[in-house]
Amino acid sequence: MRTGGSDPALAFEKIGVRFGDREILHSVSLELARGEMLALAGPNGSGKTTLLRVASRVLTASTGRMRVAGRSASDFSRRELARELAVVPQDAPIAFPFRAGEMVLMGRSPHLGPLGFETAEDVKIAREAMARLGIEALAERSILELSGGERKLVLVARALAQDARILLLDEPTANLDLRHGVIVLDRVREFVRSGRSALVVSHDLTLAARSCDRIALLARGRLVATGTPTEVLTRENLRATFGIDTELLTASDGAPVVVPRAPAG
Amino acid sequence: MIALTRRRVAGVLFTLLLVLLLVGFAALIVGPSALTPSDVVGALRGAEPGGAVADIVLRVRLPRVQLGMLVGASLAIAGVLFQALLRNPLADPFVLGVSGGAALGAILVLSLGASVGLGYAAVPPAAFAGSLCATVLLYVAAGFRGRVSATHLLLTGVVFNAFASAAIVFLASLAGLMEGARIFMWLIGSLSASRADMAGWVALFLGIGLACAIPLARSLNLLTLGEESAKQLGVEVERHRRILLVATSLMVGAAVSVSGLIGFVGLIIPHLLRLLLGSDHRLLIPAAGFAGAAFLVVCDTVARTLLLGRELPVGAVTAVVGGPLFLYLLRRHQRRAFAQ
Repeated sequence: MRTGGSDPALAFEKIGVRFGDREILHSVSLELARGEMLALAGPNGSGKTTLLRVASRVLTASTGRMRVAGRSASDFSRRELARELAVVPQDAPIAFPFRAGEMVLMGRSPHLGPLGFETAEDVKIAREAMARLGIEALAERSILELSGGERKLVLVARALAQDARILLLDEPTANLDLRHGVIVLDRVREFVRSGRSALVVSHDLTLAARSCDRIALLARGRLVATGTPTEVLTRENLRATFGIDTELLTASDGAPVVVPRAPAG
Repeated sequence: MIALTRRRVAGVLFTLLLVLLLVGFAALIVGPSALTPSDVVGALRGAEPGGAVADIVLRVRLPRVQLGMLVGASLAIAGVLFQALLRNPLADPFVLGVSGGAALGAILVLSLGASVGLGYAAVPPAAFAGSLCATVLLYVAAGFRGRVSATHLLLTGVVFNAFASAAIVFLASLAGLMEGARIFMWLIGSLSASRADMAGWVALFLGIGLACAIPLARSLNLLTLGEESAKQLGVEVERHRRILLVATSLMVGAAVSVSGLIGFVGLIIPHLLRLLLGSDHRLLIPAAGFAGAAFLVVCDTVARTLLLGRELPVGAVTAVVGGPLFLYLLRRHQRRAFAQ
């Protein structure tokens, strides 16, 4: 169901998540516009990954609801949702030695019939996704032999091959060297250029500021600030969110650079 | 990039089918009475019906070879499914006590069924019920949800096995000396032709199991990535897992009800095939069927010819091959766990 209307690609409406007594998310409302790349940042345990899990519907919110292209997310079958929304997990523990190429091809799953085999077209899409991340050479390698960073690139390629309207990325640049971190975020940037959207959980505020249109700060399950990088990345916000003093510099292209200082007393 | 194609699946399966037919033919030739290949061909073609050669081939060896193929296929496929569902290459229905559960169900009927009017035909359904109960218990105790550590899984299996053995010993003792001895022989796992009349049951259970598992083979690939990733890639995880668990229990139940506890087939064959063919279950599931069938027929032929004039239970042969392999896999698994 690809509606082309003006509804946001993804909308969280007062999402709350509780595990027993612990409140992980408290009434979070956030919209991801079409063509937007939105960073979600916040300290460890602030609920970022939980929000992504709600978005991909592997976790059901205790309160609130979520819409995908204007339609209630609970109306989608898993398969339909997987065609709208692709996820790059933090890491994937892998039990069997699938080859990296097979892993990327699994991204084509939501597009195949139950007895379906991948077509030449599917293989082409998967190969292109790998080429865009510069990992064609890994195609025949066992996923168990890859380094953490290489495995991450394979997971990104899989999500690109899934050809969804929305990308959800959980710490896509963790484990990656500087060059590959930039490559991944640039590919995501390209992805949103065609009117698609991406939600990126990231600890690297400087990298997020360089690539994303907006940043949402989450602390203790609540949304603290949302806006452009320069609006959101202020000393006050960062102190309130991370409990740390920071120095904010400006890169030559105008993007903010966050330099952490001593923890705030 | 190599993608799995229908052509590759067909090619591999055709090769394995040829191997299976060759093995089956050889098993018809080998035995205490020396036959030549042309004797066997003649008997199969129906030359000289009622003759001694035809008797040996058609009434002694062929039913046993058929049963061996059905049981071997069921055990190997059940192993593949179980390992994928538990996301652990060490998971084997025999080692984890699922076969023990099936045996317990079967023996309940064998030892007590007669008094309530249940005949031998009730054994396969009872074995299925037993293996399903054991699978569900394993599910609850070890938890399929997260990735369970191999240690936790194996310990749970050891406890299940101990419990099932104790219950079986208890029931066998109740059954009296003669019947008890028969039950113990059966427990070790044998393909004696006396159960050949049950081949239809095994074929039925295997067929239903395959009909459930084959359409879900691609889902199974995704399920090995973990529940969340599978869902995010569009798999209806709960429903598919339930169907696959029932399919596994059906195949284990069928195999155990006719042949007792033949161990390690579900470990050896999947391991070998993963090395040769990779991890894609669209190929592994049917390939395990043919390879498991051929393997068990070979083991059974060894079992009935190794000691002249006497017969080994085939379960002893598979255990001799499977035990060391299991230990090797366990060691490698631990080393990998440390390396990660």
